[in-house]
Amino acid sequence: MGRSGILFALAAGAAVAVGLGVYGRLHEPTFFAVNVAGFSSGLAAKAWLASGAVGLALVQLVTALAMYGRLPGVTAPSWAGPVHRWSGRLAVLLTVPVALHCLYALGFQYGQPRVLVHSLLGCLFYGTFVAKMLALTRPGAPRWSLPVLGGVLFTALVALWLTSSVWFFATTGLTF
Amino acid sequence: MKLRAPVVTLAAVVVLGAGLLAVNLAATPTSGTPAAARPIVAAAAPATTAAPEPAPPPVVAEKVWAGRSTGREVTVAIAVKGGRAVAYVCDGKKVEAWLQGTLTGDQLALTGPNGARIDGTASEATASGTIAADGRSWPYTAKGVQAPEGLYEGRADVRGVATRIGWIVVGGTQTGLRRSGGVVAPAPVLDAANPGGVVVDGSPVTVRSGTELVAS
Repeated sequence: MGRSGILFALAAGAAVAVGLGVYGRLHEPTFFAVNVAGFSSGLAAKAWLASGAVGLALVQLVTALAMYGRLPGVTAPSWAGPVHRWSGRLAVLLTVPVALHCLYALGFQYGQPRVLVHSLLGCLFYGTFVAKMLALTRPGAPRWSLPVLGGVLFTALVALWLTSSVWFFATTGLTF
Repeated sequence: MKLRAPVVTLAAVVVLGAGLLAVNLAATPTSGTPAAARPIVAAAAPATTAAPEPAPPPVVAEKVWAGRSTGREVTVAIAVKGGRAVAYVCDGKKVEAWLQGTLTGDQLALTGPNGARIDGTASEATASGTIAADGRSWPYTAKGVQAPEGLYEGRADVRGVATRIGWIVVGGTQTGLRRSGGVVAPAPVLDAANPGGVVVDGSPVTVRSGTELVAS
């Protein structure tokens, strides 16, 4: 059960990652997407939403370390679990409008190293997210699976943020 | 019940993504972006291949024509490759349209948004016929051209707003307009010798030209 469960979760995640990449490549970029109200431009909205997600991801990292007893001298408080779950949900929901704009308006691109890395990581992020959500529902999943998947998610999100939001803020300034 | 929670999270992400995609799909056709015109090619291609008798082959495999309406009201450029055609009509002031269609035998037939149409007869040296755009129509003649004369398209993402620029270079003059978010503005100057150097509001513009614009 345990092994087949985690294999199923990983296979589903891989399928999602590849599917997103293929869609992004085949779908003709429209260079247009509905903007999020309240920001000067679509890119500024994306940059801030992604920054919010990264902030929540830091909460994810700390609560996860606490729950696994990896923070020296800290015993996980009872609220660590709920905070971990809800910050994660909020973080991934914040990324959805961003990713949709990427996929729908821009597509999978590989013209520059920054863009190629960003495109690949975007696919990896959602694939890993699906794998982690499915792994959570398999009680027999190996002990390493959640820390590894969570670590990949955190790393991918931070790298996605570095290759987009940080790049945006560095090139156009801190624009809202 | 606890084990269901991740599935609910997953479902929430899918629902949000699908909802946003639906909003985008609903909004895109009114934006005047090429997405609105894409289905025409998709629909036209099966029609030519599935015709009961084989359509006559195009008279030229790959060509760009550029010219004007006979009263010089609008400039037009048409690029064809393998029987498919892309054209741009522009008056340099406010009227502009991108069209897509076919070259079947020597007959050009292209359509674009808001009733834009180009029909005509083509040969290696010339293409002539009728343009309809902006609720009016004009006869036109265009001659076969070589780079740097011809048709150019620029695309840029100017701070998240899609910008599409068309230029027609013919007879030593450039006619072009740019459109972003449904607003038409003058096109920046194109250096045909260095098309990659165009910049709009600080954003680099990706320029393609001639038969590159024809979807393969």
